Order: sequence, then C-alpha cells, then structure tokens
Amino acid sequence: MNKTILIVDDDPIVRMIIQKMIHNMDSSVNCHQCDNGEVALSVLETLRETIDDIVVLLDINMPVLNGWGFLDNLKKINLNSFTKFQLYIVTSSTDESDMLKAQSYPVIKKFYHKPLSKQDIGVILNSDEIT
Amino acid sequence: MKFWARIFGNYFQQVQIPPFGKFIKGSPVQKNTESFEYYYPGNGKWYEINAYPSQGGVSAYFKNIDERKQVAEKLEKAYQEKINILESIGDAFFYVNKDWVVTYWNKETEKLLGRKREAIIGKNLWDEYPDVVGTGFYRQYHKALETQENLDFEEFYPALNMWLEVTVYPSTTGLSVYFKDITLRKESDIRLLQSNERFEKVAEATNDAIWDWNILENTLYWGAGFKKLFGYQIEKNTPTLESWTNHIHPEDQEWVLQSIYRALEKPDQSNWIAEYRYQKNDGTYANVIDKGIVIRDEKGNPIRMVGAMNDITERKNFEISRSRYVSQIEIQNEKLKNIAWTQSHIVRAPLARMLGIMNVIEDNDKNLDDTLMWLKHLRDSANELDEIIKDMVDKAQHLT
Repeated sequence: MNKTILIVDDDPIVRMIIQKMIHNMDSSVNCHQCDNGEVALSVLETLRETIDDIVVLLDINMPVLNGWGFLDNLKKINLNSFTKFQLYIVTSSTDESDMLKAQSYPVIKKFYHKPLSKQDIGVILNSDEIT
Repeated sequence: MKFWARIFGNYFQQVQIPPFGKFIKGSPVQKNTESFEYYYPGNGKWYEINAYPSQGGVSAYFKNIDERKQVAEKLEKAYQEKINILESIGDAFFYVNKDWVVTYWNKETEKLLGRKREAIIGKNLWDEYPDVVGTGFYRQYHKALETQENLDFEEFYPALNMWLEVTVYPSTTGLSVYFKDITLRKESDIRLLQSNERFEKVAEATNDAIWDWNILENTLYWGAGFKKLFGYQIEKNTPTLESWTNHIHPEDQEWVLQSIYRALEKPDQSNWIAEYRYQKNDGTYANVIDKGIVIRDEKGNPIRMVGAMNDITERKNFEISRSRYVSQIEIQNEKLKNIAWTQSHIVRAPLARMLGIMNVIEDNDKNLDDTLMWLKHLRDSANELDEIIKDMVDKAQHLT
C-alpha cells in the first residue's frame, strides 16, 4: 500500500530533514510539506479521494494555525473515509504540559521530541505492519 | 437566734436561779427541827410547817406559803420552758458569768465541742479551754463584756478543725454565747473565692474580652479584656446587655442577636459562636470572633451565658493579604509556565534541528555536496541558537 505523509512544520529545514530521512528509507513515499495547520487542512482536503495510507507528522508551535488548532479542526473531518489515518506529534518542546494536553486527543498515535531518529522514521513507516 | 438571745439573755440577767436547781422538800432546817411543806386540800393552800421538839412533845408552826409556792412553781415552769427551748434550738449555746464561770451548756454545745455539761458547769472557761486563750474567740468575748455590745464573728477553731459563727450577747452579769458549725459553708466560700480569683486572673491574662451575662437580671459583667481590646471604660454602674449590642456593627446587629436568641431557645444547645464587626471606642470596627456557653436551670431555661470575644482583625487582615499574595504568586506562576513553554519550543527548535541534521549526515555518506549543504544548515542553526541564548542572557540581566 502506498503512503502519503504530511510533514506539518513551519521550519523548512526541519521539513527537509524529515523528508530526506523518509526518502532514504523508502523513496516511494509521497511527501507533502505544510508550513502550518491551515495548509495541512487544505492538503488533506485534496487527498479526499486517495486510497493511500495517510500519515501526519504534526509540529505544535506554528504561526497561523498551530498543532492544537489543527487537531481541533480535524474533529470536523470524517477520517473514516481514509483507508488508513495515523497522526504523530513531532515537537522540539519538552514541556510536560504539551504531553499532558496531547493525551486528551485520542487521534494522536505517539508523541515524539525532535529530532526524529532513523529508528523513529522506521517505526512510523512500518507501523501498519506492526499494528 | 437574735430573738432567742433577746428573750433568754435578758432572762438570765434578771432572774438568778441556780441552774438545775431543785426545790427541796422535807429537808432539815435546823438541828432537831423538821420542816415540811404541806398542801392542805381543805382550802387548797400551801403551808410551811416547822416542828420543834418541846417538853416531850412537838411544837408546830404553820406558815401560809401559798404565794411563795405559786411564784416558785411559775419560776420552775418558766425555767423548764426556757431550758426546753434552749435545748431544742439548733444552735449551740452556753452562758458564762462575768468571772468566766460556765453556768449553762446546752446539748448542741456538748455535741459540737465534745464535752458533757457535767464536766464544765461551774468551771472557768479559760481553765477548761486554755488553747482558746489569746485567740479571736478570747478577744471577742472580752471585748463584748467590756463594751457591753452584741458581737457577731466567724472564727476558725483549730482544735476541732472547725469554722464557727458566733454571736455574743453581753450583760453586766455575763455572756450568752450562741454558735454554730459553718465549716461547710466557709470552705465552699473559700473555694468560691479562690475560683473567682482564678477567673479574675485569667480574665486579666487573656487577650479575650470575657463576659458573663446574667439573663434573669440582665446584667453583663465585662473582664478587663473589654477595655484592653476595645478601649471602653467599664461602666461604674452595672452594665446591661445593651452595653454590648450598642457597639455591634449596624449591619451585623440583627443577625447576631437573632443567632444568640436562637441559641437560648434551644434547650439542647449550649454553645454559641459568631463572627462579626464590633465598634471600638475610637470609632473603628474590629473583626471579632465571639464564643459563648449557655447555662440553664434544671428546666432548661437559660439563666446565664458566659463567653469570650477575641479580636481577629489582624488575623483577618493577614488572611486577606495572604490570599492576595497567593493569587499574585499564582498569576506569576502562570506567566512563568508560559515562559517555560515558549522557551521549550523556541530555544529547543534550532538545537533539535541541529540534531536532526546530524542524523541526516550520518544517514547520507554518499554525497559530499549534500553533506556540505547540511553542514551549512548546521552552522546557521548553531548561530540561531547562539542569538537566542545571548538574547535570553540579556533579558535576564535587565530583570535585576
């Protein structure tokens, strides 16, 4: 099954790093770089008809629409229409309050601190095989 | 007791009768002479008959003693009545003549002092009670005899470990002394005195205004704390409940009074507590906490209430300033949390990026151009982090 990954982060270098590491591991993955939550929502909208597995790597602190705002808007979208939808938080913050808040969103599969290691990427890409 | 004293004191002064005297019948008047008292039923009169032996016969002289006899009988009767009364009164009573010789000693005296009358009648009081010589009893009796004035006094008698209440009625011929054991009363008096003294001392020592409200008489006692706390001079004339209610803050007056009357009405309630504002002598209001206990009679009717008022203004102010302080700290804490959050996101961002770049470099060992590009990004990130840290240090220095 093909994967489409949304890398949602306002830092272009970070987006670049993640995409590079994903492609080093699996060049077939379709990557979308989103500057903030709003961009990510509109990209998701364009993917309505896809049969790819969707993976969202979401930063928290972003301008325009941050990670929490994105998650709140996500509730209005019927995610069941996707074949598979997985969401990971990827943040530079180590603040405990963020982790506590993340627990109130069941849609979050896992909480990562930046940077993602090669192993982390491997887990994210192969998660469907494990679960 | 005074009544009896009046009657019998005077009696003893006016009529001299040998105590326990008997009218002797048929006693010889003189040698060889026989003397009789004879009641002649014929005319219903008494005669004294003196018979002398004379010339082989007997000469008899008759003397009408009817009048004397009647007086003597009356006296005897009156004397017995007096004795009966003296014996039946609950008080101990004895009589001493002016030479301190005991001539009368009633049953109650026997009981109290533990000495039979036979053992003391006719004897000198001070010879029999040498331990009393020089004591208050001794001085008072002498004083009464000298001044011829009635005396009342209370005195402790160590030999019997007994408090006595004594009333002395002097006459020119001697002293009538009435007394009774008041040890129980005296001891409870002393205990009461001590407990009152303790109460006074506690009232003085404490910072509370202690009060004692006699509900039946509507009098209110205030401890010294009332003046200390609120600056009021304790009134010379007996204060009433109004001396308290008048100074309660107008807004608190109604509910405080209602709560106190509610407590009084419930027979099973003995405690009362209220927190209200009380006006001080300088016009300002103190926050007080007032605690009281209702004392009831056996029917459950309130008769008295005692309690203590405590000025909690300072404590209250302290509580207010403390809660203000706490909320300030909470606000500050919230701000600090926000700062920490921001720092965690912003400060750690370039560092996380640098670490990510290093991951990429490690993962990408085939292409030198790529590595150089990543190295440039690494330097940029390091510079960014350097700027952030410089900025933080700068801000921290401006805080002080």
